[in-house]
Amino acid sequence: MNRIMSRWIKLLIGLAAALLAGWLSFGPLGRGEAFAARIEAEIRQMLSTIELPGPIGVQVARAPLARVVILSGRLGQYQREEINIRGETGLNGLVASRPGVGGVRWANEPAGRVVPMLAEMLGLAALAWAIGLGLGWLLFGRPRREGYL
Amino acid sequence: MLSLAWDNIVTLAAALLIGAVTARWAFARRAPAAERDTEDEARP
Repeated sequence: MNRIMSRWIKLLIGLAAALLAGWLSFGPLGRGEAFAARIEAEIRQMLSTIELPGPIGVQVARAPLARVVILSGRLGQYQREEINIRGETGLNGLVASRPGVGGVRWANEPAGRVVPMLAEMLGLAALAWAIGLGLGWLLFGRPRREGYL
Repeated sequence: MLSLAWDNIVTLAAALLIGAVTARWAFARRAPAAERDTEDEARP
C-alpha cells in the first residue's frame, strides 16, 4: 500500500513539473504573447494585400489570451461571411484559415466562450508528459523476463 | 493547435523528457527476489 501511494505521488510530482515548465514558457518567458503578436502581424500583412473598403483592425483576444482574432472596421455582413476571397467564404473564413487561428469574431459582436491559450498549452504539456511517461515505462518499467521463453 | 504545439516544441520536448524521468523514478524495477537472496548470501 505504501509503495503504491508513493508511486502515485511521484507521478503527480512529475506531472506538476511538466505543467510548471509549460506555464513558465508560456507566461514569464513570453512565448504566449509572442505567439499572439506573430498571428496579428501575419494577418495584418495578409490583409494589406487584399482590396478592402476601409482599414481593418486586427487584435488577438488578450483577456484571457486566446487563439481568437477580433476584427474591427466597416465591413458589411456579405463581405464578412459570404464573399469569396481566395477560395474562403468571407473575410472571417480567410482569417480563420490562417495557421494558429482558432476562431474569428468582430469587435461589435458579443464574445462567446473561449478556450484560454494557457489551458491549451498546459493540455499539450500534459500530453507530452504522458507520451514521455509511456516511453519511459516501456524502457524502465516493464517486468524483467526471467527465462528465455 | 498544431501551430501552437510547433511554436512551443522545445517546451513540449522538455515535458516529454520529464515524463520519461518520472517513469524511471516511479516504475524503477527492483531486482528479483532470488537475485537479492544470492547477493545477501555472498556478503560476509
